[in-house]
Amino acid sequence: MTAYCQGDDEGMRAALKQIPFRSPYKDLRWLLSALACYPADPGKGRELLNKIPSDSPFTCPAQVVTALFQTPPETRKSGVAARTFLAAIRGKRDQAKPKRIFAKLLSEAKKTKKPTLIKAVKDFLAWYPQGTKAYEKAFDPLPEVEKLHIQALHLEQSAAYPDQTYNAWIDLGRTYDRQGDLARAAAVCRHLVQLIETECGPGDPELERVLNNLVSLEPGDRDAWLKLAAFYQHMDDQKARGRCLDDALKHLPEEPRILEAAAEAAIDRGAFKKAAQLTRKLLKLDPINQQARRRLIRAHLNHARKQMKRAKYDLARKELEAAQALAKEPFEQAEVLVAQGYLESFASLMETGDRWFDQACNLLPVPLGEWLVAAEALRCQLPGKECKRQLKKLRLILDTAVMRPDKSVVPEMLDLARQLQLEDIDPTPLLQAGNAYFKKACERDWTLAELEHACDLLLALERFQLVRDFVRKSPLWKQRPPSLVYFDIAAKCRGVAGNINLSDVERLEAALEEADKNRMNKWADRIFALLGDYDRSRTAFGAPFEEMAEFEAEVDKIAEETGIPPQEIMAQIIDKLLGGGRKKQ
Amino acid sequence: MKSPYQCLAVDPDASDEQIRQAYLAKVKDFPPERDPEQFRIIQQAYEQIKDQKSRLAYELFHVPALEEFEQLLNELQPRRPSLSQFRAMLAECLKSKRYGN
Repeated sequence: MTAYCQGDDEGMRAALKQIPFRSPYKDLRWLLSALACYPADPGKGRELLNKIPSDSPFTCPAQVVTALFQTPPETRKSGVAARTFLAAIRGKRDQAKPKRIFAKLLSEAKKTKKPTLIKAVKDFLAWYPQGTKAYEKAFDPLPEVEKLHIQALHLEQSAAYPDQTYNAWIDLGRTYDRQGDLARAAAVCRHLVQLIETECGPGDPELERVLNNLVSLEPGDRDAWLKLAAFYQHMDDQKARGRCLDDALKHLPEEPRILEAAAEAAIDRGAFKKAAQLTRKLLKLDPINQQARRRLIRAHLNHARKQMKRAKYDLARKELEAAQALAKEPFEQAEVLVAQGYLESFASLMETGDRWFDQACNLLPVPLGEWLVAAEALRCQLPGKECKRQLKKLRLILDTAVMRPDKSVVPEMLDLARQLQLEDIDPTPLLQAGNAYFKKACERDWTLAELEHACDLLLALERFQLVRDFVRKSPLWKQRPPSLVYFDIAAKCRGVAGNINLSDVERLEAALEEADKNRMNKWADRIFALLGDYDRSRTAFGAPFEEMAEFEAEVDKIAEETGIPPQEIMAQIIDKLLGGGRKKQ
Repeated sequence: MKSPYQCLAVDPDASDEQIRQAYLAKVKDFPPERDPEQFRIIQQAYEQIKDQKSRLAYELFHVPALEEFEQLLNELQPRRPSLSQFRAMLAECLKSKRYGN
């Protein structure tokens, strides 16, 4: 113990070796050896402490010492002497002063000349760049690029102005690029992407510039291509999205994620043939990819619909045959059958069409099949008479089914309606037909996750009353979970944040707090966004502070150029805006 | 202050495969059910250096926290309690054990 307390670990080990195996002090060996592991090797320390059996007289001291290796340390249960003992080892928990740490590290590094210590001193310059000269004096001079790197790290560390940090990284990236160190230049670009995403969000034009730079530096960076495609999707620029993914495929022709994204992009812009071709390639690489299989079915179905509208029935039939060969799940098979039914209807063989519909309905629970048939009628934009016939049939089925609504089919029915909405087809006739069914279904016993999914779809479909029915009729509403509060208020204001009243703002704020507390990040984000929309709706301009800052910057520029004081320029602008009102007064 | 390379006991110029093998060996030694804290450290270390991209990101953007530098200084000049503090702690433990606390 004396050797340990004097920091003489060698002496301690030698003394411990002399403790006989049968001695009652044998477990002191583990205790002291574990203590000597602090703070360098907590894993080994814990391992040694675990060797002390539970019936040993050293169990209790071992429990005290265990606290040294815990993060965060747990010492509340310890006695006064134990806490004093631990504090003596740990030292005071003062706010570390960079200057003091740097001086100590530097002197140790100078003394020992250990490469790991010299590296630690260099790493520490990010915390204390003032020490650069002292470092260079003690060791080697730092190249310019290292100094730029230290500067950028320091600015980021000290949470300086985002612009300053950003420019420091850009300077570093350019230097790497000039030196031909493309991998490091690309790494800096990736870091810049992260900074932009955190500071400015997904639609910032700078993001496009940096991502384009990144893919030119490192064309094999899959994630960068995907981010660039996502940027164009966010900006609703389908052409650029497709072009970007085509370029990505030139560099990464067999990358499943790129193939997937390219197929999705092709479907979104109506290039179903290309989507099918890309997905087939993807399925060759990954034959059990269910999502890809479903996407391929969707591409074939969409292509068939396109051909049907052009009256190219043979081509449509070929597409449907391809879809049928891939369809495995009952819902997929039913989708193909319904599309085949409409193909026959288009080809004026109505009776044959009905036979397909009946087959499809038999595959699915009531009323999902009939719902699918009616949804397809809207999708195919059949003549009004035929559409009405299918909706009438659906209503008849729903009238009976409403007595015993099936909870499991509701999300699928809503999903189908949402799909129509995303394809710019008005799903209102379908939803009107299903209104009573949904109203009755909301009385069933829903779990929170099911409820959230259904409400999400209903909100997107703007069925605000149904959202409130689902929320308020649920027994879960009593607990006021943040997600349900969000849906209740979002539906009450009918999707317009400006309609939210003050008491609902307070409810949203309480829900936000609750979501934050319980780490429900998804709901915290959505509530925060709704509150943000509400705030923006209260002001005349979009983002008054940002605009004001821009305005002031412009005024300062004019003041510099003309020599007129900024206040005077402001007054003149206000005069102009008010039509010379100030002069009149 | 251990670097992920030290944590996984690999050279800084080790290949992806060597790093992976070292990671798997360490996970075998410290499975999550036996030592969750050590497992977390190993996993974090692996994430930081598992491929060229992560290694570059670690090299360029990782700055150890001030506490880590302090810990390094502690390792260089470890703090030790006095013998009387050690004895008092042992006596307190034995006393609490005797009275069943």
